[in-house]
Amino acid sequence: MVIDLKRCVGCQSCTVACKAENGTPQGVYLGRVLEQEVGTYPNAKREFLPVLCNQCEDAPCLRACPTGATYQLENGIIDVDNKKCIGCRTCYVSCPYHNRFYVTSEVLKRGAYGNGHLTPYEKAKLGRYEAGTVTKCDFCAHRVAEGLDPACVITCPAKARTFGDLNDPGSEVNRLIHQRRGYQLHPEYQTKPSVYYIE
Amino acid sequence: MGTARVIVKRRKFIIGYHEQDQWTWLIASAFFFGKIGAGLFFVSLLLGEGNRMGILVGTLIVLIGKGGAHLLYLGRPERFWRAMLRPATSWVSRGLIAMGVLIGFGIIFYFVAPPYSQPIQALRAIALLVALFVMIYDGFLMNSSPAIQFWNNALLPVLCFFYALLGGSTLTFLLASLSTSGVVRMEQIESLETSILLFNLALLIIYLVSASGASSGARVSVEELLSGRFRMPFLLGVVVVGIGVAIGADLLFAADRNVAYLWLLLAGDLVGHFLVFYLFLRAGVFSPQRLRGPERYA
Repeated sequence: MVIDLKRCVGCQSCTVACKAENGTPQGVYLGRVLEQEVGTYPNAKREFLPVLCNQCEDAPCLRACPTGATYQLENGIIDVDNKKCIGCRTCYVSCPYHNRFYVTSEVLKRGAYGNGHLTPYEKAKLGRYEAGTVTKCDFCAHRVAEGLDPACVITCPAKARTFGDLNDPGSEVNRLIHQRRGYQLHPEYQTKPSVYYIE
Repeated sequence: MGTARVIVKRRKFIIGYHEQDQWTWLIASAFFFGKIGAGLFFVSLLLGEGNRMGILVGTLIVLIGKGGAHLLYLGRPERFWRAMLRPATSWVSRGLIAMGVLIGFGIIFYFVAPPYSQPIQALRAIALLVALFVMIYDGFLMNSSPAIQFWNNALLPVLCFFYALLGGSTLTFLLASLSTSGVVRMEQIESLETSILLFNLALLIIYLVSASGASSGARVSVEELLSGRFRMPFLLGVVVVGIGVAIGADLLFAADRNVAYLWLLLAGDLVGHFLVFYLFLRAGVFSPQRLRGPERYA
């Protein structure tokens, strides 16, 4: 995935689309936009950084997982089998991008309105999560398997995100990375992230 | 505006140093019990051949204290056995397997009475290595996490070893003073105590100095310990109580053989030991997911 920071306006629609697509419990944001104020008045501005799992080629979470619950799909996507996860959160403290989330039983029971009653939407969506396990962004693997782009990509109103195959030299993502000098977050950790940023 | 040294809590959508909020007191307790249990086992087997009470107590501390804390912490404790499945890459797997083997050796050496035969001596050497592994593996476990820069320090397993050795020798010291069997000579450990305490103090200083010069994330953690949120528990609990009071109690015991000083030594040692690793866990921060070049937000 390539994210164009020049285009990102920080609207958080990717965050909302991710929540809607994946029905994540309260407090779990598999994709989100971080922000920071830069500079001092009168030359101050707000910058945005959309983040999600970097689907690292050499993922520290994959190595750290003691059970094999974290695994890599053939297309490179890192996923979690929550039937195998024991909730030790070693992956959580291993991820340099802080993109793992622990699902407590409380958030699954409480519901979005905090009164213990789940809406029909929550009942339909929360079933994929298991209390006491860790979850993460999987690039909407269910959509990718059907040839669709992840929800955050199709919903971005500024078209800041481009999704494609990094192994295909002729793909749009490779063109953007090469032409606009794409870079990864924290390259010093040598995790080889699959998410690139361009400016 | 520079990168404010404010720790972002509750995963707010802000670029900054985010607190490590998952491995807290239960993991610290598991590490603590693992180290003092394995340390007691190690010292009992190394010094007092036949100090079976120390071996038994050490094994029980590992089994009940460390095992119990881990089970309480896990989100799905009923699947704990799965944690043994990936020893090739995971320090959690390696630690759990070593813990199981240590408990097995604990049972063997409690029931096998000395003097040890040749094969049992070989087994004893293996048991000592396994105990050593349990004493230090949590240092490697923390070290293996690239996300928390404060933990990426080669001294961490060394610190684990000496704190485990300190806990083990203090407990052996206490058990020996309460026992009349005389299988452990007090003076063997007595001379060890103050030396390890002073050595731990030196190690802590070197650790903090090296971490503060290593990376921005590690520097923030050091600031948290020395002048931030954890200043009081670190300086008072780890340095004053954990080292100062413990050394004082040890010296007082050497002058006046009163068991009360031994209890004071044990209390100081254990409080300092628990707090140092608890605070190391809590002071860990995730570095900002900054854009290209650290100078951008520097």
